[in-house]
Order: sequence, then structure tokens, then C-alpha cells
Amino acid sequence: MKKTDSRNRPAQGPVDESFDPWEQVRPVPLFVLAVVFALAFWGVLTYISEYNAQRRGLEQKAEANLAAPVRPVPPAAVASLAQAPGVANLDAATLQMVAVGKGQAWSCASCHGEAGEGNLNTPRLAGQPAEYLHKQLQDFKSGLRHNESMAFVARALSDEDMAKLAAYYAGIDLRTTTAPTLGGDLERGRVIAEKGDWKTDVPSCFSCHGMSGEGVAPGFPALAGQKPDYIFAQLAAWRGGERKNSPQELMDGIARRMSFEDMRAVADYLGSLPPRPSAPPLQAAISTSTPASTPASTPKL
Amino acid sequence: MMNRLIPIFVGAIAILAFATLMLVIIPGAQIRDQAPTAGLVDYSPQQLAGRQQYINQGCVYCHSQQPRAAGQTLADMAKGWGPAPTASDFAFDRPHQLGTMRTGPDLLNVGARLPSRDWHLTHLYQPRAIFDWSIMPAYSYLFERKKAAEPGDVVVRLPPEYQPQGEVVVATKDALDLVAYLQGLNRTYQGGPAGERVRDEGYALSKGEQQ
Repeated sequence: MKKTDSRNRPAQGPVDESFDPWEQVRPVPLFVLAVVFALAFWGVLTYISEYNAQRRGLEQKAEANLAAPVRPVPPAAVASLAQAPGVANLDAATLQMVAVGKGQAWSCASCHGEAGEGNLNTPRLAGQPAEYLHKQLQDFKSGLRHNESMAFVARALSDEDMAKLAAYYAGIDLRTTTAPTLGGDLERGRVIAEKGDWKTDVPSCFSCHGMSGEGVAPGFPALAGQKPDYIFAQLAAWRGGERKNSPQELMDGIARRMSFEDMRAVADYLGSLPPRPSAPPLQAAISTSTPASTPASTPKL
Repeated sequence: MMNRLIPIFVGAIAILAFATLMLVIIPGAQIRDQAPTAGLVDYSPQQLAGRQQYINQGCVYCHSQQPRAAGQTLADMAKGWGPAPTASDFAFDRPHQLGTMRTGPDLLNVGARLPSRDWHLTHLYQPRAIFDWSIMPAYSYLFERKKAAEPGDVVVRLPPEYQPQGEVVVATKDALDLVAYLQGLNRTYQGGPAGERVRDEGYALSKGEQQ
């Protein structure tokens, strides 16, 4: 049948007898093969040389470390912290709690630093109003403020211990400044801190926390020089309902009305301000100030 | 069939070689000569021993060492985990312990936010002494129980409910090494303008676009 068909068809050139649609012979060009193998070979060689270099590096480092086991500590920074006014102003029992610990409690300085300077979300304690610090310790103990590590410490402290520690850290006049760490918009932070954002009912920080963010005893902690990571973490904690010990839920509402970008901006701005000694209690400040110097944005308390 | 084996084989090697080139060799060449970030200090011998403990105990299975950038999420920042690192922040980590699991918190800056040796010892011995909800294993086998502490011993501070009767809990060298390593995990130094320029900001708009 096939034979007769092929004879009747017009000639279409020579027919490839070995043609098979499923077995096409297409050898890979020698050039591609060479490139692929060269690449693979190069990769293996690179791996081996990197591996050896690393091993040699580690061995050299181990030798160097054995030769010089003492890590250099920047002496200037340590000295300036230890020499801050008020750091040495404490009795033996308080010194024990600050530097060594008490019972199950770790020492204050082991986390908050030699002069209460703090780091990241471990807050700066130096220069905070004593009443504020005392209340926070009590709140940690009662569970009103939620932080497991601080609750662990506060459980080991008597109320008298807390008052002593609060007075000690309030008396430290540490003027070290912090650079902004969060990458926030500092100009936006300044506007919120000084003027607030009344479109979203966010009052200015300074209207309660002091005209330079220096804190107002007894209730308002210092913000100037506080760690930006800590300020941001606390704003986020108020917003999320994690921290609930603000008087009259003031900060809860404010934080809920702030955007996260604004929190970041204001935390960075406040943290980079130079710290100052905290102001006298609010009543005294109002009675001694003249009407001209009273800010228009101060809310009624 | 035999004719197609070679193209498949060559194709597989080509894909592997290409992937190796793009994912291993080129990135390796890009970062191999990067100097450590200004402010980064090499590990001490004790910290290196602690790092080995960190690897041996499998910390990396639950803890990462790479806080995310503010441009990706502000969540890490709100936890106080510190700034996102750059490649040169890991110059002394061979191999790095970046990790992928976040069962526990990120530890890259744990030495900055929790610098207390005694906190770490209590926490390693019994995490539930501090966090009653913690699911971290207790590394009590890195500690010894003694009738009385000897000179030079580091006694672990424990609440009454975890304090063994009539005994003290003392840290072994392994525990102290591990804590020294954790205390040294601190990448919060200011890397200077050069460091900031290359710091990963995730998908945030660049500073020019924001203005």
C-alpha cells in the first residue's frame, strides 16, 4: 500500500531512510561542553582554595588570640560613665544591690550599665524622677507593668529597697548623648515632640514631659537622652496593650493614635536630645512660671 | 535514548555551574575582601569557646542572628533586637550563625540588650524561672550542684522554687564560655557613614525618594 502511494506522489527530493521523529541526533556543540566543564572545574578549584584559606585564617586567628588574650576596652568611655556626678553617691546596702545583686535578683548595673545608661530596649535610668522609678518597680512586682525579667528582680526587693534604688538612679547626672539609631525622620520627630499632631489628636511630648523632655516629677519620665529603641518599644507596647500602667491611660490612647513611622521618628528625635536634670514637680513649675513662658499647647490636667 | 542522556547530563551540570557561579562564586568574590565594620571586635578565646558551645547546643535551630531592617518591618525594632546587620558585621563569624528559625528571639544584639552574665546563667539553667511560659530547653547539664561554693565558683541566682535544697548551683566552664559569647553579641556600634550607606533598608524608599 505504501509502495504504490509513494510512486504516485510527485518527487520531493531524496528521502532520508534513517529518519526517525523520536530519535533526533543533535550533538551538543563541543564549545558549550568545554565551557560547562571549565565552569564546573573552576567552581571546584575555587571551593578548595576558599576552604584552605579559611582553615589557615582560623589557625592564624587562634594563634593570635593565644598571644594576646586581653581585649582592649575603650578607657575614655568607661571613665566618663564612672565619673558622672552621683554615681558614687550611695550607701553600702544600695551598692550591694546595684553592683552585686540581692537574693535572686541580678544586679541593676549588670543590665542597665555602670551609671544606669542603658542600651537598646534596656532603658536609661540615670536622671529619671525617683517617684517614677519607684512606681515602675512597684508595678513590676504587682504585675501592673508586664516584664518578666524586671518582675523577677522586683520580687526580691522590699519597698524600702525600691525607694533607695529609685533615689540613687534619680541622683545620677549623666550627660552622655545618644545618636539616633532607628533611621527615623528627625524633622517629623521634632514636630511631634514640640507641637504634636492635632489632626490625629496627638499632643506634643513636651507638654507633659517637660519643655526639653527632661521629665517632670512625679509621674512623667525623662525622654531626652532615653534610648530610642526603648522609647519605640514602649510606644509599641502601649499601642498593643502590652504596657498598661500609664496614669489615666494617657499614653495608651496617644500611642494608639500614632502611626508606627511617627513613633519611630519621635523615638529617634527624643533619644538624640541632650539629657538634662529633671524639672521640679508640675505644680511648682506652673506656679513659678510667668504666663508668657507657659506653652499654649499645655493641656489641662 | 542514549542520545538524550548527554544533553540532560550537560544541562544539569550547566544549571548547577550557573547557580554556583551566581550564588556562591560571585557573592563570595564580592564579600571576601570586605573589611570588618568599624567598631567590630574579634572574639576572644573564651568567646570562641562559647561560640563552639552555641553550635554544639544547637542554638541556631531556634535563634536567628539577623534582625530585619526597618524597611521590611518595624516588629524587630519594637522588640529591641537592634539594627539590621551588614555583611561586614559577620567578618569574624566563620561560619555565620544567621539561622532561619525564630522560635526564640533574635540574638545578634543580645549582648547589648541583656548584658548581664547572671541573667544568662539563671536563664540557661532554668528559663522558666524567669519566663513561666518559655519553651526553651533547660541547659541544667551545663551546671553543677555543690554543697557549698568554692572560691572562684560562679553561683547561679535562683528563685526559692528552683533552688535545690541545701545545695548551690554553680556554672561550669562551658556555661561561662557560652555566656561570654552571648555577652559579646553586640552589633550596635555606630558603623559610621560608610556603614550606614550599605545597611540594608529592605524595601523602604531610599532617602532621596522620601524627600
